[in-house]
Amino acid sequence: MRVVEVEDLWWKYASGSDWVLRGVDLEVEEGELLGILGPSGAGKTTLCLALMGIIPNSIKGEMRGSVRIFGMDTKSSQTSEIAEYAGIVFQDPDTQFVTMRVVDEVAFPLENFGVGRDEILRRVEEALRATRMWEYRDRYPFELSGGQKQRVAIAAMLARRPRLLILDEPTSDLDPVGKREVFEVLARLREEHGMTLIVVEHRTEELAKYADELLVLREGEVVARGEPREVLAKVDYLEEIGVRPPQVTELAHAVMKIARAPDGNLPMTLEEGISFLEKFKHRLRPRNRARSNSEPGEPIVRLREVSYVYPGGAVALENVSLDVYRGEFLALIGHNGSGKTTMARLMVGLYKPTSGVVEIFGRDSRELRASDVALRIGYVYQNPDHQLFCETVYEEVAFALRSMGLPEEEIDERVGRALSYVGLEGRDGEAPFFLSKGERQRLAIAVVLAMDPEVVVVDEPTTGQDDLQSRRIMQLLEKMNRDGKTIVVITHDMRLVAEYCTRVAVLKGGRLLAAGPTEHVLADAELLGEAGLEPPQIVELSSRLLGEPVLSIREVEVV
Amino acid sequence: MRTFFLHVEEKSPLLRAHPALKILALLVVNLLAWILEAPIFLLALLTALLISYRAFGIPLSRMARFLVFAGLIAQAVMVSYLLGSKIPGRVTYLVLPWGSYVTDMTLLYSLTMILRFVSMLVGSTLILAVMRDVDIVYGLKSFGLPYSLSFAFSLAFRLSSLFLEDFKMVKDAMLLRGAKLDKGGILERARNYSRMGVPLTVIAVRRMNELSYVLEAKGFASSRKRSYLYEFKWNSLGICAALFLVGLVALALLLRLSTDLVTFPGWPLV
Repeated sequence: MRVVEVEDLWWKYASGSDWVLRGVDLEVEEGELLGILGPSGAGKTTLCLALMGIIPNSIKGEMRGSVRIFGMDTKSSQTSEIAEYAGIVFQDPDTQFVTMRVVDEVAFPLENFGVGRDEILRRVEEALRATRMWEYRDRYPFELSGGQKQRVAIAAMLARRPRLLILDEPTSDLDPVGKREVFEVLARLREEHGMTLIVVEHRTEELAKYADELLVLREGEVVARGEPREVLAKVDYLEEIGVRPPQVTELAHAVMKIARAPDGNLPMTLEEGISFLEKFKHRLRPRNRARSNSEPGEPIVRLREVSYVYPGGAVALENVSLDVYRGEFLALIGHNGSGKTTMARLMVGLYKPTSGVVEIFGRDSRELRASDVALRIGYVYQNPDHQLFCETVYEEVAFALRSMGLPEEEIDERVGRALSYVGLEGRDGEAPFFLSKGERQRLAIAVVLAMDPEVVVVDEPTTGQDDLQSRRIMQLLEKMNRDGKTIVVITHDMRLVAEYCTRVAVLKGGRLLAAGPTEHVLADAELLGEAGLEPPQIVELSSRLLGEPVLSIREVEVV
Repeated sequence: MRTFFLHVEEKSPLLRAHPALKILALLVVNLLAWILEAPIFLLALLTALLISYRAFGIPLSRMARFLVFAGLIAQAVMVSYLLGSKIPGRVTYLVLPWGSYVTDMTLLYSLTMILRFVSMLVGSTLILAVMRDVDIVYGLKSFGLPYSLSFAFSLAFRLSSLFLEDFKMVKDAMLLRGAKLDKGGILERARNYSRMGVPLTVIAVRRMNELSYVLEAKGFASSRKRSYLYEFKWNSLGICAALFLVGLVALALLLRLSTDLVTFPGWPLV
């Protein structure tokens, strides 16, 4: 049975002048898992909203073509009617919670559809057990980690037993294990309930494993569609538009290019990659990548047996000792809720330790005001919207410089330099809130950069960004590091950690599990497993194939 | 147990009370504070509320965060009466150039008003401390409000906690960029803080948009016949408590309308 039929769909928001979707055609059969890929701004979320009927029922704009869900035309059906058959899980789990208890959250849609009380109780338990959240049923949603929240959001949809479930980047805020768990739940839903799934995702490793079909959107158009093997084999094209294929596919493609052999069936998963590359392993050679500022200087931020307890009593950090060295590119990694952001805020003086000492450039942070620390240690928030408040891009960057009492001439010079550094030159007069998310993130970095701090702490700069934007941001941080800045970055993206960072600190449940050179930490499968993390595919692939771990594709020489 | 404002022990009897009783208690406390004018009765009301805090298993330390509000209320009330009232009294302490004066009754009346507002604050926080979102929804619905409106009230409370988180985040971000938010007089501070309006509005608008999509996708439609997960039943203790609360208001009204006992300055201060 055909669940989704989209014919020549065009959509333009009332607030915009360009078509966001351009002639999209799509059919999805019952029980299928369709993965949607594409760079930021390609129209993926818009397509999801159109499939749920939210477009055109609740959002104003111009629509051409048609969308039919289980035969219902979304133009003539209410969203609540479509919602009887289809459910959607959005990217940000926080905005999806409308109640204050996990069990109430899962029951809420069932109450809306008038399901009897006994049936509600039965389905809520079933959904929470299926997503392994039953033991958290009485918890306040905001006390849960990112992965747990997303599982509750899925459970709330699952309890309704929709025949079609749409997930819009459900794993972008999650740690590697959280991401895997979400996909495992989806696979089980399909197997046990025959549910049709449409998943928007930036990570191709999971989609390669679970999807029946992939669709690639670019600037509102379908530019590729087919089985994962067929779509992901277009390695060069995908990379060009900001979609990154699995690392094993990338490496196999590079090998085939050098070997001048036809691509054939490129591997998609780790196991396939190992057996595929086995016969070419004589052509693969690890090479040492020159990491930026590989010889760091003296410690400039020191955490000594630091604990931090939030006012409500939650222990965020426990007895942590860590030094940040001048000139290094340090990654703070750990599962959701492991204490990474708390640690970063202690480093910039926003939080004072409950016990222990944080020394910032040799002074106890308790003696320092955060605004004074900011002159030497800049902090870039995860959500740039929390950080931007001026009317123009120029004013945004100039604000802190004016607070520092710099002369206008110098302000002008510093603003120009910072904007050019992050690739926003010529955008001075634009309103920050109308920039794309990637641009806002880069503007937030420029704001900090203009203050010329010695250390820059960046909290999850690549969350929800496509591969091209993520790389652009990381390359920017790498450049800053080469120019002498110390960089501390919090991220869940192990690929980026492997490729850019010189040292890694691993946190688990508020404790520091380990800190050391990237190549040692990421090669320690046991340590990562304990921390609820997973190494990039290439680390495991190279360990098994070459006998030594390699951190990125760039570090494999194909001869 | 997590409620809107505080962590409350599960065994607290107020937590398990019928939602309508909680809403009723909230109304009664505020009504009593309005009806009673005599300082001695307001003092008695405030004392009773503080004792209730403890009796219902809510540690008084939980109130610490509201002390600053109580202090601000006291300050504002005192200043406005001292500088701008004309309450005749037995002793006049000060006559101000603009015609208002400060008497012994001015001081007593400001104290009365402080007691009134602080009682309302303490009473409301006591009830809200044991109020969950379901209490608001089911409680208001018991009073005849449509479900969609009751739900909107509870949602507003829930969103307020998200707004506070955003407020703190934006404030920290501004401080890190050298903004001196608390510098200068009231007007300058207001101007400093007004900058926060831009990101907070943008974040709130984005969040409200997403929330409206989420509610639609979850089948929230006011015209649909819905079912309810919870069934709250009145027990005899709850009924007695409700009757007692209604009786209290009736008695206070009676005294206010037919005697001078609870009016300002009231017994035994005359």
